[in-house]
Amino acid sequence: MKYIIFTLISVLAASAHAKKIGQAGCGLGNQLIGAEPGVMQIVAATSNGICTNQTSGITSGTSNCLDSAIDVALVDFVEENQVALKNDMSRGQGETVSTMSNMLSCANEKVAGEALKQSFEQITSQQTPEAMAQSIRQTLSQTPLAGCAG
Amino acid sequence: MYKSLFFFALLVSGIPSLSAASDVLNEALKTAQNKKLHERVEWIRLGHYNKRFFRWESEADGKEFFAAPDGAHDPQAELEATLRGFFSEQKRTFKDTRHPAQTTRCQFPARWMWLSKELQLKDSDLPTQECTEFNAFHKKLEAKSATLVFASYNTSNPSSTFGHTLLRFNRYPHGHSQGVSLLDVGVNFAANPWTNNAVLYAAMGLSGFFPGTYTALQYFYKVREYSDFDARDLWEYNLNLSQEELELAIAHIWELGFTYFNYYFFTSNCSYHILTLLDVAAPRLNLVDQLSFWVIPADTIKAAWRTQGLVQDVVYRPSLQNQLGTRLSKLKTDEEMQAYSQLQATWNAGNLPQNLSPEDRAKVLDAAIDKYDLINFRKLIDKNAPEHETKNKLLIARSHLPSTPSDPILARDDQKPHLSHDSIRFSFSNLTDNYGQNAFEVTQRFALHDLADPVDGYPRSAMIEFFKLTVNGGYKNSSKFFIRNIDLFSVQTINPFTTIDKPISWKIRIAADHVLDKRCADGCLAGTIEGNVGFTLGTPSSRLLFYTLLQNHIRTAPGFARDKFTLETGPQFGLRYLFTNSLIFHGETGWQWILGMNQRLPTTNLRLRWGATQDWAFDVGYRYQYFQQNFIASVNYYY
Repeated sequence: MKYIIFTLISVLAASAHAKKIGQAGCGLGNQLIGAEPGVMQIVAATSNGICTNQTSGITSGTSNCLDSAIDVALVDFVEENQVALKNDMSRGQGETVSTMSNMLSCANEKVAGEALKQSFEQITSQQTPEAMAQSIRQTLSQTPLAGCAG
Repeated sequence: MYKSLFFFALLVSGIPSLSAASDVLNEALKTAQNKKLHERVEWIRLGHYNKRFFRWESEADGKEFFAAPDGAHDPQAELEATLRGFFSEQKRTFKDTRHPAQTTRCQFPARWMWLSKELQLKDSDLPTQECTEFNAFHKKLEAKSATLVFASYNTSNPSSTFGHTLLRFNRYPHGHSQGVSLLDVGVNFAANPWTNNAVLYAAMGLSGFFPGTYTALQYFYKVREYSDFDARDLWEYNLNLSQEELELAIAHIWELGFTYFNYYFFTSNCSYHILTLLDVAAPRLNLVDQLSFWVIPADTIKAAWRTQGLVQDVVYRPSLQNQLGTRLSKLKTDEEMQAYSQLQATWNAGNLPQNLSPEDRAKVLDAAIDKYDLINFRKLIDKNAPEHETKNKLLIARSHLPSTPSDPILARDDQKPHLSHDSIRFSFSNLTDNYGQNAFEVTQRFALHDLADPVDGYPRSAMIEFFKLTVNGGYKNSSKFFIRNIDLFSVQTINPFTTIDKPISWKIRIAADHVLDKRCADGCLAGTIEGNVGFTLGTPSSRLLFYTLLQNHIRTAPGFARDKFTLETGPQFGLRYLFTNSLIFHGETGWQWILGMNQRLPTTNLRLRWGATQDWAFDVGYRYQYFQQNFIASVNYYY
């Protein structure tokens, strides 16, 4: 019995130093796995099974990215959807490309997608989401036929 | 002198308007009482009240949700306190400092919407106030329509076993051109951990001791999380809600933001609290009443589906895994398949054979890109992962190939989750042995689906069972009953090998089984852990599946004659054939050696089940276990 109590206490004490779990910032990586990737965090993020834990409370400002200006929103979108967005840009179409052309009020989504595909290497050689978003806007502004306003 | 006169004038002029306001309030209180507004279903739902032991009790557990001290138990006092609060300029402050201080009117916009309509009140009757925070929240949602989203099961991840639901508020009406829903807002109800302690987290999370709260997040987070990361399909049920109903829903979500609900895994869970929200928004609906005591997310989808006129249409968003499946099915020729296999071995797009047309190379590469993501998704979240380099080379190669028309991926009709049989199953079976003696067997299963149950709405190659109790009795020479099984948890996936994918088939079961052999000659209930692993062959549609597993049981019971722990191991062969989606044969046979006991146990289980309706199914079967055989006839009722 003593053994069990001792083990329990030491496990609790040791695990108390564990990383913050499920603290959701704006970032997906953040949300899913905390600051450092680890199996426990991934499990933690999805472990209550029916629901995961996000902390974008209703009254506490929700996600800081929900109502920002277009620049911020675009950077955020690029960052959070990076894997899917790169895939779609390399194919010249797809949901993230559609969404982005909607954000930037592009009149011709198809042309916009094709332009992003043409400039794919240029865009993805950028190191930060800010630079990538910038490069995307530049590409589109140099493609008048896409008719992007934003 | 002038100054004091001025003050006096100011004072006097203020009095009539003050008393006018209190007249309006008194009038409103009287009308509310005369109309018995506190008994109306709208008010009961706004307060999340339930009758418990002849007494009202609100499900909301945070005191901040109530204007009256006993508001949680007294709908009438709560209504009156709310009305009084509307006429006060005083801001309510909250213990949880994340909530901004609010006047009653600003904290409870949904109550105001309903009460002001019933009592014909206007904002101008109240003290002037600006609900800045609520207006900002409202602007973020900007809803023109709403969608109930069901995140489907991922059978390789037991934690997602039962699915999940959330409510999406769309910036455009339904039917708007595709590709804009990523920026819509998903409202989610989830348990919040109050501890960073990993051990406590797991324990509390599983037993449901965390407070549950609503959150709002852009939908793309959910898409990335569920479709990409978790390999779960998303089913989007577009709802017919009026603009007024949408506004009430948004206003009520704001109110709920100030409180929490104790989270119970199986009853007061995410899906339940999404449905209560819809019932508040549209009092014409009675969704919660359609649920049984347990709330399984798919059941809430069915409640919505069965409500006349509520669901406008269903949109399918395939997981990355299923998107890959579709891309692979488009590789028709041997050259394409070969190119894909080669690409998968090297991840070097430079190797793509030039004799394929650019379009065909694009097809092959598209599949390979998805496959690479599927394998490396967790790593690709880390921006510094070396995998990005390989991935980028694939993408650059892809960007040099032509765009190909992409047809939307459609789900087979029979996959739609609202078609699934209900989650609880009661079965009654008649057993007949060699000598023609009859006995019976009764099985109660809490959830969810086995390999012989009708497959509509469920994954075809998976079994998930949670808490199943089987009792036998009615034997001629004995009046005794015995428990054959208590399955706490049982998961199995039998995804077949394909030319390009070789998934492992496996089963895990935690249970107590009735053991009747050398170990326990009179029969005893033994704690059992079963772990099987092997592979499955089958047709691409999974209509016919044949699997071979190495089956292992660790069993223990105080009544075991010699060793208190035993290990059994041996081969198991299984066959599952879908004559139709609801006429299904499932058979398993095999044998096990009890290690160290020189005994071999052959076991066979065969079953042909016909799901006559969504609720009823009938079986004939055969079982050979512990050297006894039984012919089985069963009736199954799903509810």
